[in-house]
Amino acid sequence: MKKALMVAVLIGVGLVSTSHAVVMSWAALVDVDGTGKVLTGLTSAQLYYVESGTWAENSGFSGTEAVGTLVTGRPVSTSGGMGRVSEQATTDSTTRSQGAYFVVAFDSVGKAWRSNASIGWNEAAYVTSDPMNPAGGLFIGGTTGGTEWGVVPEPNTFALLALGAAALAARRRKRT
Amino acid sequence: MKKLLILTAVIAAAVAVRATTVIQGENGVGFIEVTIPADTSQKILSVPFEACLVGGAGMLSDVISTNGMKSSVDNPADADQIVVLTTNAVGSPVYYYYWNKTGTGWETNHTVRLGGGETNVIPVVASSYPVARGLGFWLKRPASQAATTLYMKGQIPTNSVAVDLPGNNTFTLIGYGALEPVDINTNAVTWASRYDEGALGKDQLRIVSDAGVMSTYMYWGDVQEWQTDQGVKLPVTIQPGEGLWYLRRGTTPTTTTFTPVVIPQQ
Repeated sequence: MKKALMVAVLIGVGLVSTSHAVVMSWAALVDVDGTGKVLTGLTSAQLYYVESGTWAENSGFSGTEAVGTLVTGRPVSTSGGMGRVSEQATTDSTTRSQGAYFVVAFDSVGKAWRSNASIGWNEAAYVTSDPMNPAGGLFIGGTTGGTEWGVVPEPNTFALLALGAAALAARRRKRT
Repeated sequence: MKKLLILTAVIAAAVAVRATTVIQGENGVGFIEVTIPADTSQKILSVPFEACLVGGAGMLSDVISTNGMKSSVDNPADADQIVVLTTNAVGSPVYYYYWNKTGTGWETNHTVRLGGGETNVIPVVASSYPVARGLGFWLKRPASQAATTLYMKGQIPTNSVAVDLPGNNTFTLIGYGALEPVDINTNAVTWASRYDEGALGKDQLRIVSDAGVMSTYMYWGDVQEWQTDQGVKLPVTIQPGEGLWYLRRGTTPTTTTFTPVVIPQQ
């Protein structure tokens, strides 16, 4: 009985999530003009959700959540000195009540770059939640000049040590 | 009693036509039935026919039958509704809402701006609102409805029809005008020009499933096909009577032409 109830609740949650899915149109123009934010060959890109709405400097990817499919291959190109990701339509099935979406671009040497600009979780011009009233806006992460991209640092050493310590503590607790 | 008899005759004719080969030719009259699954809240439809039998014009009240549709005596929200996209006096896109009033048929309700916000414009009455072939419209249903069938009737098309697609990120509800299932990459549609500027935008088709989930297909100019945003070509079938959104990214308007006899792409 309890199991059936749990299944019903899970199905219910699934239905609610589906009904709140949003679709966002985005693309990327990543500057590679040697201003210090050089991307050594754009290889992939993805949309990221940040609950606080701002991507804190030096926080790496902590507090962020990848959304949709990692874009690779055909939609990604580098031409005319710019890394490009052709228009994408990404669906976020998770219900949000705050936050913002950023575009993150990855280069061939393992660096990641994020758009300084973002779109709000419910920005009517870009985010479609009702198929009867679709949003026609296209969010383009980055423009020319390399001014709208920031490097995304890896999580710092201290954070890694803290994570390791927490894992050890949890393991010890489990043994006892 | 007479009305009931006529209704029965219409349904019988619909079933008979469906069971036989699709009629094609001058002045042929046809019916199609569109299956509406249980719990469908909203669905894009389109009329694949030319002018209707009555009055020589394809008016909403003539083309779309209320048979099998949920009606209400006095509550539009508790009835099936037809929602058509049109433009107001200043050229802005607005929805006209019609509801299935018991004993009356499609009754005018209200007007809502595309994107939300009610306006004080009263919709044109259903018997005077032309439902053009090649354009789409919405069916909105109250919650928790059983499956049903929607009937549309009209004259079998013999001419191509052109549908205007305004530019500047404008959405248009379109219908393939097909009497049989077609793939989105069918060669029975002539696209005057489609827009593909990669990272600056691509023309799109947006298809809404019965469950309300929206799928997007982009125009890839290098192969001149509708594919996913990841550049994958999928078999995507539009059923007769179903419609979809066209998002025009280019700044200039364009026109697309649907041929009368639709042959699915091999």
